[in-house]
Amino acid sequence: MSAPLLEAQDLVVQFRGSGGTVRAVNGVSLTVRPGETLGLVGESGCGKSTLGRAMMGLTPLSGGSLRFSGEAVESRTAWAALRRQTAMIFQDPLNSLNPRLTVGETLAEVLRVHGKVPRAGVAGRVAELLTMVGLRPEFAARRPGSLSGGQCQRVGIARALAIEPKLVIADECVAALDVSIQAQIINLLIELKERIGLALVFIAHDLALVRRLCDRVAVMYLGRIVEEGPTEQVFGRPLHPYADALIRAIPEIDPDRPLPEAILAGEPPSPLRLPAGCALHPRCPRAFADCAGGQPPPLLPVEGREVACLLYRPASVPA
Amino acid sequence: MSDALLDVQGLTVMSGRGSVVEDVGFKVAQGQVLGLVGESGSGKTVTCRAVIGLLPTGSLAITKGSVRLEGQELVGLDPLAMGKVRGRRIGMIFQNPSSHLDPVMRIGDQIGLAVRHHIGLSRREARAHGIELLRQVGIPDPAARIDNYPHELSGGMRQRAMIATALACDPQLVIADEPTTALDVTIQAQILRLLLDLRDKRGLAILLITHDLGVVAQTCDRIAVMYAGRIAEQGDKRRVLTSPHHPYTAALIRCQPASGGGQGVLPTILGQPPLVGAMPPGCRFHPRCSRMQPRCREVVPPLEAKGDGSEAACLYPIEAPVLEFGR
Repeated sequence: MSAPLLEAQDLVVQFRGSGGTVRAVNGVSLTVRPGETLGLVGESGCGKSTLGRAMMGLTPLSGGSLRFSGEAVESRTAWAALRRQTAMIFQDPLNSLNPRLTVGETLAEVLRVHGKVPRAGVAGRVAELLTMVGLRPEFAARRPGSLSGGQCQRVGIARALAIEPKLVIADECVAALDVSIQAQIINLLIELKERIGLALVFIAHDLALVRRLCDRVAVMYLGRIVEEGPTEQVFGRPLHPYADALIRAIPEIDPDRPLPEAILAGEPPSPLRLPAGCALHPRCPRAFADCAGGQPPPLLPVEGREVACLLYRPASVPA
Repeated sequence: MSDALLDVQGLTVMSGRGSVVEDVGFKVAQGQVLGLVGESGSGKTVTCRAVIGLLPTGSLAITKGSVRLEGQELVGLDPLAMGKVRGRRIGMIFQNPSSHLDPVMRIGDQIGLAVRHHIGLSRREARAHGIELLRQVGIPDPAARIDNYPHELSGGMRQRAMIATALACDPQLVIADEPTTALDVTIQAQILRLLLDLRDKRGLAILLITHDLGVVAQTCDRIAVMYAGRIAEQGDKRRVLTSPHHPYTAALIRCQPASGGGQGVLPTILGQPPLVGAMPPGCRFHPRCSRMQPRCREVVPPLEAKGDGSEAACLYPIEAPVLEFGR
């Protein structure tokens, strides 16, 4: 197994508001290896986007540490180095592009700022990037307003690739697109992953897409990872009751499969007032007395993955 | 199906640039759920707005066709008479409850408004009715919640509250436009279950507009697939999903990430849907179709009945079942 590209240890991100403090990311540890695709899934408000942003330093950390390519990311220069080698793809393809710049100018700006190619080589590299994401080089002269959603997202991907990143964080990058276009973008990401060995953190609420694309998946609930492991294992037999509910709630296009009965009762509690013990216990169909008190269950290795649930507490650990 | 509750025929909606919806027809019977499926821009929302007479005046207008509710023609009805149908006999549920509930009005008053206006209940009766409705849509502690403002409810609860307002006057038909798109999957399952329970208890007919074939597969009885303003195919849910006749339907099913659940590259549909005002001649799907023949560029394919009860608008339809759901 290759050395980790990005290691996050006990990351905490807090937001202070009038109602109190929300721990959007509450002690998350995660590693991404070179060339690996990690899916980060969970429902809205679970902290997946905040975690993605925190891993790039776009949101200040309240606790925990990051290592990138084996180096601790603490100093300003270390953060700058991380940002030179990581890029982000955003959800709304149109709003994340400058409407007044042509596609070519948008890409050239990145190349210039990062000093990736000599001035004379910029036009050539722009054409190359566009070709890489399946757009004709003539698109360099167009502005975002004249592009479709799928084309805009391709430009967004080209912009991310312009810095020749080792790691790309894609936050709901196909959620705003139609299914037929969604499939085109997913295929492009699969192709790039194979061709240039890109490491990818794919943040999504659509679990079926994550299953298509990702090598590993981490399921989040209210700021914590509840299950993390190889995609096929987690999807094939989810162990954590929340991961199980989330996976069973995927609407399959199978006319013979009825609508699942109540999968999880109720709704997630307010992140301002998290329940004691396991945050899922008020909704969990398999909760028992121990779940309602004490510290949240830690992530422990179970069957080739990690699960944070007392159901899988090893016998040697006292209750 | 002559006893259809809602009978739409030859509906055409024009904008300044061209037809947005063209020759669309479908029927919904009492107690039935029809899924109207399509990608963005396929005309599904405009179709449902035309049905309830809520097209933006000036920019879109019905130029042809009829919309009948229990035999009564709704096209051309004067606004006052239409106002008696809308909200009273047809309830509406929209995608984003936050933008369709009045933010400065208590939930109870929003439900009460409709029943006091349409049914003439007193203030006190309306409140009791409102509490009962909130209870039916599964809002806990309805007697307290009825005095909440929309922002005090979570997204899922707001959607339940909007369903309660849609049901306030005991309508025969509910039009739900992407009712779960803004919700998380576990909440989506709860809301869809609620809609089906209401259908069973009240004999509601539901016109469900969605882009999600998974939602359709789990909830609908019949499906109508729209592409570029026209119906490409319609029929029994099972038939359409397992043996689609129209190449667009088949391609749409194949490119859903959930189909098969496997890993790796997804089948795609080349190119992108056409825009209003720049519709290709002949079959509107021909530039993206893998079965395209020269005649497809010239002839507009009519919606024709197939042997199995489905109707498809394709000159060279797929005849054999092509999709299987192994599980």
